[in-house]
Amino acid sequence: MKIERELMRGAGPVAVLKLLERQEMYGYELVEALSARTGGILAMGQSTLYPMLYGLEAKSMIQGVWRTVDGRDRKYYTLTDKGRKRLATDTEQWSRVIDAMRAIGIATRTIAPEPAPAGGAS
Amino acid sequence: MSEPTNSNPTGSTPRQQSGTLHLMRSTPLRDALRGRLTGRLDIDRACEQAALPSTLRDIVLRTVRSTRLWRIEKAEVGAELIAHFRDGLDAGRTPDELIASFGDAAVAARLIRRTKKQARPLPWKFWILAWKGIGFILVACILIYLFLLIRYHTGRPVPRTNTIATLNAPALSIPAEERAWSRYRLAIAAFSPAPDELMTPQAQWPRVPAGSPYRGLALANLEANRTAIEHAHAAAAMPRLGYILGVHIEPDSPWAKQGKDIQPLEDPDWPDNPPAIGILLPSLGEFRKFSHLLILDCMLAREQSDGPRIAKNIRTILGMAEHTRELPFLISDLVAIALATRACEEIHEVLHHTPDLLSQQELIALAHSLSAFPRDKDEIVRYASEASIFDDTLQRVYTDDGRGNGRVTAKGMRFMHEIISGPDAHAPQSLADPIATAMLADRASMKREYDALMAAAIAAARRPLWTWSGDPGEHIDARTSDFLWRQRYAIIADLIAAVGKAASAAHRYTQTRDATLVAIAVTLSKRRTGAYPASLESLVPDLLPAIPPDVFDGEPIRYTLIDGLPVIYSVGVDRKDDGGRRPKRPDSVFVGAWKPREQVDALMAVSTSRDNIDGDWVLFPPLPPPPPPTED
Repeated sequence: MKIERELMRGAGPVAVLKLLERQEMYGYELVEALSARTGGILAMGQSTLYPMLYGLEAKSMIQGVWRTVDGRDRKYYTLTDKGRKRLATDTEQWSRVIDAMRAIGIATRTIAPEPAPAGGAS
Repeated sequence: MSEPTNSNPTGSTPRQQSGTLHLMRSTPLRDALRGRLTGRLDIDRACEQAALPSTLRDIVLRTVRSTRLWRIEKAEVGAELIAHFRDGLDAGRTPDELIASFGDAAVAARLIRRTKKQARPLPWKFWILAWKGIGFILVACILIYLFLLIRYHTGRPVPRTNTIATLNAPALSIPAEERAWSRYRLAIAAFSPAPDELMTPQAQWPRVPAGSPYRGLALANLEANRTAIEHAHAAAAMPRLGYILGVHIEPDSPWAKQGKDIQPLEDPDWPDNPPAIGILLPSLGEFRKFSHLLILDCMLAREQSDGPRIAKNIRTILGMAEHTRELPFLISDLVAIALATRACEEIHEVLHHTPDLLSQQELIALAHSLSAFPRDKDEIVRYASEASIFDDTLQRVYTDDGRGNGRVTAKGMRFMHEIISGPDAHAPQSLADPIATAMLADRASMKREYDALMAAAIAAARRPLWTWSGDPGEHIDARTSDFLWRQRYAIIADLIAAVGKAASAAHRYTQTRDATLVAIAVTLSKRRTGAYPASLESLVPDLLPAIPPDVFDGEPIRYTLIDGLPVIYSVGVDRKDDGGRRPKRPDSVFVGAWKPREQVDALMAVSTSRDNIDGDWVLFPPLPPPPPPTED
């Protein structure tokens, strides 16, 4: 199911921040994780993801560092303190939205996320 | 194992086959400064190194190029996209699948550009913002300037009122044979100018005393002008002047020769409606010249004990003063009171030196003539024509929207330049003209401000002199000294009349005239009783309708007897009665010139200025003639 762009614009950044909460990740890894852990609902093209990452980076929510791992050069993104605070705020707001949606009978199901793929910084 | 590099790793192994020049061109400056030719700005080479299929390589290059970012930013984006596709290929995805999941490259480039620019350094953002601001201001200024330029050059003034025709209407209504001006023209035609030697201070023209080396020259000139004087007598005795105002010196006029080089101030677009401010008044100077001749003749008549000639001359001077007032301008009124003052001074001379020379009838007739001046019973100085001239000027400077408003025009500004610098002056054109004139008030505001300033000044000037706390025109002076006000109301600053000075001159004349009437009254009293009266009260009402006020304090004009002779005076500018004592510098004009009290106090504190004002303004008797200045 394709999510409307406006909805995605609100959900995408908080989803990315959430994924980076536990571990640093590089671009392709994030794409895969978003797709797998949201049942494809929040899957986004790289033409959307990379601008979003650069935007979060410009706002100092995340920080990107080039790293060579197993001979491969990748830019790894980590959550900053500012990003962590923003994630907390957004999480709270999203919870309320979902509760509200539930209360009026819109949100009724829960997506069973796929197990997180092994990867990220090792 | 991970190994942070903090740099784009695509530049870590530069192609050996690349030329050094290419390598240098694709190496960031910071790397070069560290002595490393990384070549990491070469995205094409990085794609090649990552062994990306051509389709993916193409999408990377297309996206990166479309971002139009800085080269270093492009290199970083390129490296990340290369890493992304390499990861996808390693994960078993086909190039087509990766292209499909990538999305629109153009959209990606646009979004990447937007977000990458957000991450640029703050000084750069300020720099761009500043340039954008400057650009915006510049464009706005250019647009405003173009608007003003078009507005300035497309406006045309349309004078709807023919002010000169309106002012000429009364004169034109006088039958030609009743116009005194026709006789004055004969007088002017017969006039023989005084030689230059008589115009020097040593000659003391026109009161050239007996025994002066210039006396013969003066009398010769007087005799040469006998015909002119007779014409002037005849003209001054006529009731109306009938002078037709204009901006040209007519070829048949008495001034045709002198005036041939005078460039008239006129508007070729409106030849029948020339500007009122360009009106020429050569007659004013002629009246002045004739008054000089008549004063000299009075002096001679006194020596010859010819009272009727003196009376006739004085009446002619007063007649010329009346005629001058027919020219409806403030300057004419000032010339008129100068002529009338001259008549008063001559009466003072006669009464002091030869008190029995004029008959009782002549004295009474002169007193009545003086009391009746001005014949129109209007104010001694009038300001209405000033407003007419100002309005006439406005209609030539501004457009007319039909509702009393309008905007400044280029033609109007050229006209203003001609007024200030002369009709033959070439008005400089400047690109700044539309901006400078945009600061000028519109026509309605200009008119409102002028009317308000003049109304306040005139109201203040009409009050008795002794109630003045400041110059009636002081608020005008305050405004004109304000730089911003002058920019907005430049036309007013250039044209507004000196109301305070004119009003002071009027009060000064009034006091002189009142003193003359008192001097005539005390002379007549002496003839009746054999002695000058001890006070003026005894003259009222037979010889004086009332005792006139002292203009400086509102008290009755001062009168005393010193050595048995009458002294009529005002307390003068120091407002202190000194018993008829003149200042140390007896010929000082400052003692009778109004000044605010605080300014007088300041002047009294300085000995040189105190000598001019510490004393009374003695109106009668006249001062003895000063010794002629020496040649050296």
